[in-house]
Amino acid sequence: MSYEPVLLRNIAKPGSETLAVYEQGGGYAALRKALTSMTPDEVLEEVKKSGLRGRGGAGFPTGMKWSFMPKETPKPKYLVCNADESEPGTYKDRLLMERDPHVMLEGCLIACYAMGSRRCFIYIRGEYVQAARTLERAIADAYAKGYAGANVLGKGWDCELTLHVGAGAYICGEETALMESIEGKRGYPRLKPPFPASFGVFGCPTTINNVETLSNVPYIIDRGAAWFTSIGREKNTGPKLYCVSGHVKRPGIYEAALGVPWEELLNDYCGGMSGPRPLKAVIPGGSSVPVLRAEEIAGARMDFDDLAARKTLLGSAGVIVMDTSVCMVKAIHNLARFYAHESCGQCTPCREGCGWMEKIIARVLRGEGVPKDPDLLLDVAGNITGNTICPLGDAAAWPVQSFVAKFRNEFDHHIAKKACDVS
Amino acid sequence: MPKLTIDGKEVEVDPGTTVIRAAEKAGIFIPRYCWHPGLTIAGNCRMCLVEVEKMPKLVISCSTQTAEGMVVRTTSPKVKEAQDAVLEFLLINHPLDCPICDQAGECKLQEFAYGYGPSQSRMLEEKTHKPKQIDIGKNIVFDGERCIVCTRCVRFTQEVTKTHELTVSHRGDHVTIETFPGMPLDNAYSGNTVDICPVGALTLKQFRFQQRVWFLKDVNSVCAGCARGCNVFNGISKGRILRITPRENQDVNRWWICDEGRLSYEKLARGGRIAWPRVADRLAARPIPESELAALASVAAAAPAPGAHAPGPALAASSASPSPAAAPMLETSEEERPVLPKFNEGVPPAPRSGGPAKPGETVMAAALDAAARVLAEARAGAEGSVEFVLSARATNEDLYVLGRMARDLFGATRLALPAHERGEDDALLLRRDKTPNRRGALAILGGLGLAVESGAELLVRVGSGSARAVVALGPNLMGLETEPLLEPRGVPGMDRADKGAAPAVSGSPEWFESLAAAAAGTGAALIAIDAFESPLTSGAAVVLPALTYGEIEGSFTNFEGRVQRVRAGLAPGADGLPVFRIAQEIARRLGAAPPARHGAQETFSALCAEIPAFAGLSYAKLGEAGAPLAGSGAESESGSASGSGSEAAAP
Repeated sequence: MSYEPVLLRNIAKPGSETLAVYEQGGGYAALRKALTSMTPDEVLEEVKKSGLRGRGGAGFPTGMKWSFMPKETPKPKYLVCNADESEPGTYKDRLLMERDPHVMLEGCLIACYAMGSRRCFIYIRGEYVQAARTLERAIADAYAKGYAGANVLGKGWDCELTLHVGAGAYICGEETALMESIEGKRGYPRLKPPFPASFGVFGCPTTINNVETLSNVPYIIDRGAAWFTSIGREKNTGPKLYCVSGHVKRPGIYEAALGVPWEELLNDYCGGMSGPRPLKAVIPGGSSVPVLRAEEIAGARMDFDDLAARKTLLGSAGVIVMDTSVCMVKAIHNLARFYAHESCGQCTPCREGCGWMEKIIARVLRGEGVPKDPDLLLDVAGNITGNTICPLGDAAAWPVQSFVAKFRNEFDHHIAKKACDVS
Repeated sequence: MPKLTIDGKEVEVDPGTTVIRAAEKAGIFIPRYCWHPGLTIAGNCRMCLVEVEKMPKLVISCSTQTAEGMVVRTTSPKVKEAQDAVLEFLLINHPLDCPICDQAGECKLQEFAYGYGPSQSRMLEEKTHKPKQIDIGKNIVFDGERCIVCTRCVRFTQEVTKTHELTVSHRGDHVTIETFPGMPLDNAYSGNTVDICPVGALTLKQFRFQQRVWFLKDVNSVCAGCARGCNVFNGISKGRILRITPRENQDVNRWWICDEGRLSYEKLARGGRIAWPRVADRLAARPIPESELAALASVAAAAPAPGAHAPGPALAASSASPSPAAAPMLETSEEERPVLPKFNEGVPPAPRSGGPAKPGETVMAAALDAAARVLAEARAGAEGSVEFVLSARATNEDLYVLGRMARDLFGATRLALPAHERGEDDALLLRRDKTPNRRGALAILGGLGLAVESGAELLVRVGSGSARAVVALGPNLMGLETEPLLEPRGVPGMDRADKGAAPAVSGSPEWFESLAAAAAGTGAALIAIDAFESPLTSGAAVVLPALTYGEIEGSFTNFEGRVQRVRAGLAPGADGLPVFRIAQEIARRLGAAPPARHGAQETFSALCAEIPAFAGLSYAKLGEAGAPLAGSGAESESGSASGSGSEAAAP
């Protein structure tokens, strides 16, 4: 708990969302530094050296992603800031956008500079009304002060910031569906290849980064890659926001070094379990990742590689904590219903499979289950994974597979006794 | 040229070829729903998943590009499992209403479920319900529950017609296809969405519940609706064409046809068919003995009066006539020759029983005799001409024999070829010229040294009284035309019947009416040949019924100069003959050696031997995809018409 917050250092300040407060705290110094004393390649190199990995869920090295952008292209290059935070259990980007929007904008501008892009689309989910208003204001202020728009900081470099408000679909957080949506089309994921770096928004080379990822960039430029790598551990560097929900005393957003021990996150940050009942299970990275039993998460470092070794994912770091009062059949039904509702319906396995899984679980909960149902669920989920256009199919199937595999006794009980053995 | 192995077969393909096309080249079929060679790749159905060595997951073969040394498996256990899974998913919410579904028998869901799918459903839940029987356009009905959302129809409206009427709405297993508000699927090519729909979600209103598709006999033919000459299947059952669907030809229509052509078979069923020949009372109110006929046919008599108005005088005899015995095919004995129906009577005589000739042939023979007699008189007359009105709706064979007859027997040097124009050429298939064979007609008549004059000029000549007889093909050879026509483009005003009077567009019903009136007014005998009634036939002295679309064999030359065969699949719907046979019979009766004997194929051979543009062609050479006229510039670009594996771009 000796951690000094970085990403959340401004949020408690009164007026933290305003440009004035941001500037008082050293805001836009990193942009000035990059434009004044660094070439785009040097910025890119610094981000590469920092080891920053994408905070949207996949944990892909950010510097490497940027380097995929073609250097020589007649087309405009675009940056997209993915602010379509929709993963159940995840609400970190919202806090950043509502309370410290300029750090994200500064990150966008630096990223554009590094990649030779002159426009950044910020795609924000439709439900984030307050965040969108705050961002709109922040963008206007940044333009007024010469941080964005024509001739940024008088350095002869133009960069436009365009806010695009989505219409409220989970699928539009998927990068290619998001690009379709920006283009004004139905939010359908695209086939890959071609990948966004060669064929992104409006068919132009595009890089897409998460809000939190881009919010780290000004600090990396300002304080240096060496500072960044001093936080966390090898290959899992830098500060991280964890969104903890469920049966803990103090649910909320916590910043810690990437790879904070699970017990420290639970006990020191969140004050331990909320009631006398012990921990039963944790979904560590937003609703899409496989669930861990209490004994499986014990001793975990909450970072990309440790959780991968435990056959789950850090994902968006939306940590959902469940004690022994939770019926896992009901819990997975809740998630299955979400995915059935949010499947875009484009490709067959996800369109039909998500709805079917939800129907099967609902039937089990109604007391109409048959002994074959758990196996059927595993089969249906297995038929979705790997066979879909985008990761939503996997995201819907993995939780079902892990819930059935790890808590099969609860399904069997529901089927045999037509009742819940938890409550 | 990457070389790859698919199911153990080596195949070499062009760079950039996708796996599904490479497999097709190797003769391996990979099941698919959303992929269509004429549309962009959607990759949504996941039916074409295959295993590629060194790739961690199965890949969709429609979008995966081939690479050197690639090893593809389309039947491995992993692939089978995925196909099984996809079909199970497609079927869980499908209504399984095959017994009442028009698509049954040609449904890809049905076929692949048998071929690749699980045999039992594991779905215990209520299926998802979606809108059914939705009227989404003039010709199309949509069933949301049968739909597998492959989006072929949506892409068709976006990419081929670029009309954008269709879209996907809702999400998850509630997705469905919809039209935009106030924008029904009414484009000129909407029927193609029914063809490319792999299931029974889109059905054609005109064909719904008409016939089980396995009872349809598909006859390869060519649409006669306009100058494009789209290749089609005529779906025949119960002695009728029940539907027309496109037949792929990359050099003509690719995979598509227009709705007008698709529904052109309706022109055959609107009534008005000329079922029997008719001869004006004055010419044939009685049996005609052979001896008298022979004598009569060579008579030069006074011009016959218009038959509809007054019975004409008996025809006087002369000596120059050929004997009708020159027509052995239609020869009949005297007692078998029935009384010809009276002019405009409309009631055919009872077919005679027994005897060597087929029922009705004697009637037709008598009408041909009468026509020959009239023409013999006209030819023998000291003054006046015999005029010819041909039609670009007639086949190459028809036009060749008629042209030969006009030139060789009547010394004709010019004749009329009325236009039938409507609408505009569009960017896809539709042509303003609503005749299937104008290019062929011009090539043949030109090859015979015959000039084509305007309809107005011909009317002026007939009206001036210089014609003693007019042989005219009517406008309805390929079905009863009911749509209004436009003035043909060319010299403005030149094609009107009379510059001062109300304009009659050449080829329009008014023009044919004017022609009949001009003939009647000057005493010229009008011999009309057509399949359906028109103002021409109602004013003619002799009406000879022609066989029509679906009943004839022959060939058309499309506007690009591609010669393609039209095929018969229907029994003759009238006591008539193909136009070229009518011409042969008349010519024979007039003592000419027929240009070719009988069949369409031999006629075409004779045509090709005489007309330079057709040199080297034959029915064998035309095949199913046709062949270009010499020097027409319509030579095949792709080199073959077997296009499902060829280019994906829309025409």
